This record gives sequence, structure tokens and C-alpha cells, in this order.
Amino acid sequence: MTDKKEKRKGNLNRSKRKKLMLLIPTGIMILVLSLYPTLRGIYLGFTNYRVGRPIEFNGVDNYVGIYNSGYLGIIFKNIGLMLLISVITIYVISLALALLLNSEIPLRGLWRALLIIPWAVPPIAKISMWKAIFNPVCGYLNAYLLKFHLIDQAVNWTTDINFAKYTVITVFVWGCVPFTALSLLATLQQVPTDIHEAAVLDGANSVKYFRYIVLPYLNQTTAITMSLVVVWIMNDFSSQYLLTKGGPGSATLTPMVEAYRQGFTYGNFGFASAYGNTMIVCVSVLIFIYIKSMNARDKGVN
Amino acid sequence: MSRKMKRNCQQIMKLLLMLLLMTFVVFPFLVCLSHTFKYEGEINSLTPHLLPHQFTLNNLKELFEDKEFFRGIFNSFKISLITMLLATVLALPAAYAIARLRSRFNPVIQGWIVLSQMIPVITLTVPLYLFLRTVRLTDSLEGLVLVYTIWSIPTTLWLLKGFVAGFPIELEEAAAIDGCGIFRMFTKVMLPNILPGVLTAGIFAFIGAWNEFFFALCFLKSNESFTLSMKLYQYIGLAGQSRDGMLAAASLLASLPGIILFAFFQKYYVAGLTDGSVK
Repeated sequence: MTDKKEKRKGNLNRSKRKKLMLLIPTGIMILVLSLYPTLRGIYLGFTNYRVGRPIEFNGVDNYVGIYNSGYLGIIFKNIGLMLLISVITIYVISLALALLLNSEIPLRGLWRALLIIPWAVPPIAKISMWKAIFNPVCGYLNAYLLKFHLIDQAVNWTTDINFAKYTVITVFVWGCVPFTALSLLATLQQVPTDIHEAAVLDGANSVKYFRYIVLPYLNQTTAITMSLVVVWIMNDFSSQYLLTKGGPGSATLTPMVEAYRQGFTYGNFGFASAYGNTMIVCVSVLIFIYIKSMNARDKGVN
Repeated sequence: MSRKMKRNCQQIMKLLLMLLLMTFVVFPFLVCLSHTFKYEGEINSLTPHLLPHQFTLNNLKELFEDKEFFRGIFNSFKISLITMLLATVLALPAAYAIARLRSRFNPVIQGWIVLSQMIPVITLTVPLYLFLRTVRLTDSLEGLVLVYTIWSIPTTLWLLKGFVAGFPIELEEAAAIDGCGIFRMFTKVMLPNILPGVLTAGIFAFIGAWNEFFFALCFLKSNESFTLSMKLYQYIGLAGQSRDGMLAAASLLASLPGIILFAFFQKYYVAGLTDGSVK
């Protein structure tokens, strides 16, 4: 009896050792394929690396250079504003879509299927589609707005300094809405129906039910999807680069576009990596603020 | 009666809101569809209509005659397929180890996977470019496959980890007691059960590579190695030279695999991404 037990234990131990053998290649793989390139990328931001020249550590020279170029403030103000407007718009539209899709609505399956389109379209095809709408001469937007006398003359959506930012934001929002809406929908579908019944019995109306039961239920999904959206928009390159080239002037210039220009147009790879590092700092600050505010709110609840 | 009317009213309001939001979601795609089947003259008309007055297959015909476009499709297909296989095969044992093993490294590895999603693309681009230059793989499909695999591994790992964690550990233990080795248990017991999950992770690596543009723009130079995205980029450059119809047709074709595959697999993806973080 004890013999058998020990044998079983031995078996389990052996399988544990085998599992550990799985962990070592995993660790090595992540180290080589993911951690090392990232750390190297961060390090290159502190060097003067240019193609065909030896890599030399130059401390904070890149950052002084970036600061002196005068672009730093502009690009982070641009991306900050664009992020703020996009994230709020994305959340509102996604939540509306998720709630509608979660309720009894005719043709639900069809709406759900159509919602996938912006998510699945390649970024570059996305741009070609939106260009046809924003085209100042033969685009749909101008044609419709003129038809209903909402504007007096055609607007240059991508080159007008007042509109270029919002043109780019529209494309951001369009691309991100399906993923967030479907994620929120998946979570909404997990809200147990008896909670609704209990809330109704307790005299909650639909607004209260939504505010105190549904929204808190969505908290975690909201946090995950919105952090992903922030990172996606930070990393988005094609929307600005192909629609506005960061212009007019530098109205839609973002860190990503500037980093690409520095690296792959001017061959200034140290600078490009330095921009990457400033983006890392930026994302870290955002996440830090987010965690802080979450903690503060939890304390407020308690 | 009045209650029924109120309900009807509500339904209509909901439907109207849905139609409004869906117009935003679908309109650009409809424009692309309409451009595909229009003559160039009609595309440049000042009063555009979604329904073409004169229906034509000219754009598609012109596109199909462009041999380079097909090379682009073929390149993209090859790259995406190999990326999908590599990413899945590399990530699967790792996902198993992370999901099932309690060890000190586990939280570190998981933390890194989450963190790596927050790293800007450009931070990876520069060292990878440097590396590809050293091994003389810039402007090559092999180099791009390598980059795409590295780039898609964190997401693939995260998704797979969620699916492995969702597999009941009791079944695994039962198999172990029946004398099943870990490898046989994995291939014979677990894999058939989590196959939809593995397929989902693979499909998303595939579409990620198929749609990717930024790395391709940075690393590819010559026509021979252009992917579909780069071909589209070339057509966008030509737009205005009465090539809008062809660009629309190409965009439509490039979008189809993603739309079709996502329609089947997005459910598992959303579940995997949000569940994976909880477990």
C-alpha cells in the first residue's frame, strides 16, 4: 500500500521534473526572442548608432537633442490629445454597441458579424478606404455635408490644421471599436440573470441597475481593453503616416512617426530608439496613474 | 397596451441607434466595395453614390493581370503561414509550462509577457534591423518571418496559456495515473481538447502577419520581397493617377481572409484574452 503510494509520488515528482524541463526552454526562448531585443532597443536609445558607424554610448545626448529640436512637447501634446479623445469615444461607442447587442434587438447576428469588419481589415487597406471618404474633391464626407448644407465649401480633411487631428482620430476609433465592443459584450453576457431579478426586486430601476451592477461588472474588462487600446494607438503608424504624414506642419506628428522618420529616413537609429524610450516612460506614467486612481477608488468604496 | 407601445418605441429607438453606429462601422467598407466595381470616371465624380451607375469588373481584371500583385499575395501567404506555425510550435510548450507549473520564475515570466505588450514597436524595430543587417537578412522573406515570429510570440503565448489553464487538471492527473507520459498526455489528451484554442492563437498570428505593414515598410526594399501590404502601399502612392479603383479592389481582396477567419475565431480570441488574465 505505502509502496504504491510512494511509487505514485515518485511518478509525480518525475513528471514535475519533466515539467521543469519545459520551463527552461521557455525561459531561454523568452529571454532570447523577447527580453533581449527589447533591452537592446532600450540601450540603443543611449547610443549614437547610425548605419555604418560603430555603436558608441553617449548618455543622455539623444534626449537633449530631442528636447532641443522642439518637437518633444508638440508630439506628446498631439498624442496625448488624440489618445484622450479616442479612448473616450471608443469606450462610449463600444459600450453602446455592447449593450445593444446584449439586448433583444432584431438582426442581432447580422450586426455582430458586421462589427468584425474594421478589426479584420489590414491597416493599409483601412487607409485606402478612409481616403475615399476624406478625399477633398470626390470624397463622400464632403459630398454629403455639402448636400445637407452643413458646410459651405469643401474641406481638406487631411491638410486643414483644424481638422487633420480629428480625421486621424476617426480612423483610430474606427479600428479599435470592434475589439472593445466585443470584449465588453463577452463580459456582459456573463452577468448572471438572477442578479437582474434580485436588483428589480430590491427596487432598482434600469439606470441604477446599470450604474451599480453592470458597470462595476465591466471594470476589469474595461481596464484590460482600454490599456490595450492606448498601446495600439501609441503604436499606430499607418493612420498618421499615410493620411497626413504627420502634417499639416506637425499637427498630427506622433512619437511613432517621428521615430520612424529619424531612424529610417535620416538613418539616425539612436534617436529613433530614444523616442521609443520616451514612449515607454509615457506609457509607464499612464499605467502608474491608472493603478493609483484604481487604488484610490477602491479605498473610497471601502 | 400602452406598455406594449412603450416597448415597441424602445425597440425602434434601439434599432435606430444601432443603424447609426453600424453606418459608421460599415460605411468605409461599403465605399471600398463600391469603388471596386466602378469605372474610374465615376469614382472621381463630385457627387458620389454608393451604388455604381455602371457596373464594371475592369478593376478586378486589371488587378488580376498584375503579376506583382499575386507575388505579393503569395509572399504574404508564405510568411503568414510559417509565422503561424513557428509561433504556435514555440509557444505551445511554454504556454503549458506557464499555465501548469508553480515556480518562482512563473510570475516573472507572466509579468514580462504582459509588460512586453506595452513596449512600443519602434523599440523592437531598431535592434531587429541591426540584427537582420548583421546576418544579411534585411529585404528577405526569411528575415521578416523571424521578425513576425518574435513580434507575435507574447500574444500567442498569452492566448495559449489561457486555453491550457482552462483544461481541467483532473483529466491530466488521471492520464498520469494511467501511466501516460507527459508528452503522450499532451498530444493524446490535452491537444485534441484545446485544439480550437490552439487554432485561434495560430489564426491570429497568421492574420497579424498578413495585415502587418510597419515592419515590412522598414525592412523590405525590393519588389521581389514585397508583401501584400507593401503592394497596397505602392498602389496608394499611385492613387490619383486614376488607379483608385484598382486600389479599392486590392484592399477588398486583402481584407477578405481576415474578415472570414475573424468571423469564425473572434469569439475564442476575446474569451482567451480576457480570461487568460483572470486565471
